[in-house]
Amino acid sequence: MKDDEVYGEGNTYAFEYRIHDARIGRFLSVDPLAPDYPWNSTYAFAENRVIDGIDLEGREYNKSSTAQTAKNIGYGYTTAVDNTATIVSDYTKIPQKIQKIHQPPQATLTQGGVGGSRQYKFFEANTNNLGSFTVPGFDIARNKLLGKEVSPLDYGIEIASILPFGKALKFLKPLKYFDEAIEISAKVVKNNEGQDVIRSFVKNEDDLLRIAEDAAGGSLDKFTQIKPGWWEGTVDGVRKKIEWEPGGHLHTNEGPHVRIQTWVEGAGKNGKGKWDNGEKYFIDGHENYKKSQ
Amino acid sequence: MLTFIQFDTIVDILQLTFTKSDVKTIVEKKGLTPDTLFYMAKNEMLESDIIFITGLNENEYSEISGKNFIDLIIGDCTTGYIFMITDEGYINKHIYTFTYNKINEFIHEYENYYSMDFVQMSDYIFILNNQISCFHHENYILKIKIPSILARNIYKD
Repeated sequence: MKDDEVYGEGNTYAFEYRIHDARIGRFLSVDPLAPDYPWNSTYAFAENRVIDGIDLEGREYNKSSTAQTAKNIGYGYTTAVDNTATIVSDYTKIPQKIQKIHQPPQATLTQGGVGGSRQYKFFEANTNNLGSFTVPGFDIARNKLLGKEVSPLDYGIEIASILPFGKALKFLKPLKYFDEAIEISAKVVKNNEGQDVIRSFVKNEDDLLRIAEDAAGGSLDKFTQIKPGWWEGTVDGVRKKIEWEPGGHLHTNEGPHVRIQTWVEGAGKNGKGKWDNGEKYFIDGHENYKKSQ
Repeated sequence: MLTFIQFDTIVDILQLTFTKSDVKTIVEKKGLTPDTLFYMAKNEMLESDIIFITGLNENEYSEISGKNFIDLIIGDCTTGYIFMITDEGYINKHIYTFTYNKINEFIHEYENYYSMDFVQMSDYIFILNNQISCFHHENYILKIKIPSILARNIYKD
């Protein structure tokens, strides 16, 4: 019998070390670290500090939504599927809901480009989409093959691509040039053509700008503005093109967004360079131009 | 050798087409982009179509030849001079120009000059005799029908 059939859908969340009952805000079993923290309730979630903290896999409190959180967990990220709070200390510790089948990702170099794939399997009863999935994004495999840096965002987006439609994967993206981390929410949404596409969202325009500034080495002023809304420059030896479009696009019906493209030397025809698709971010709830006005 | 005209010239030409908009001010503030052209076309009540190209992802950009790419965007508007605005040209305010029968030579020179594939996930604007065709970096083609571009008066065939 599945948990949801007993407790109701979405009422229990499986952390790595304990099961949490959202209805009473308590874990169902004793904290495995209880002997080290005698002053805490052995059943409490995040030491009852749910305003500023989250629970590390059912073990202990950790301060939330700060750069410190991101640093505490190293080069990892925080995930939350449907507002469940789960910390993943690194991408290899994907929660029970999702598990990789193939590791490392498979990548091949073909004429005219690089392709790759990775398979995941859903285990959690929280979704009806149980089964195996081949991730269509290719980003991680391709970037590794090209020798590019692979970020937590890549993993976050890749995982989000296999989530059920509309369910968000949340994680913290540590910024390189600011002492903070931005909460990113990645989910599969419909584009204007009705196709399922992955989109990354931030909470507000400040975060959106911060993402653009961080990509430009701390400020867009360090880049050259090639035309309104677009900047180009080099940061850490990598040539980048940044679109900072706080007004959105009328004719594509897109709300405020940031796109960060990277120049890939030799990836084009005859050894010439090309710009990649890049990372793209919207403000949650303002992905459409009309909504944004 | 790449041939170009100055940015201000094309702004003046567009002003003759978009009579109800202050083209110079709009371009200075918002740029000469598919967005601003669409805005001015709506203001002028000109017919415009948006065509979404499905399934074109990052890897497939390299699979498309420059000529096929231009053909896809401009359609059958192959007479007269073609004026092209790209991000690369925008930096120096250069509007590249070529005729349709010299398209392959132009693409070859452009790729060598910038050491990049002609087809990129960027914005492209083609100003033709009776149509403005844009490729937006989100895989959209925008076509604006215009009564007469007057651009043909700059260079005679």
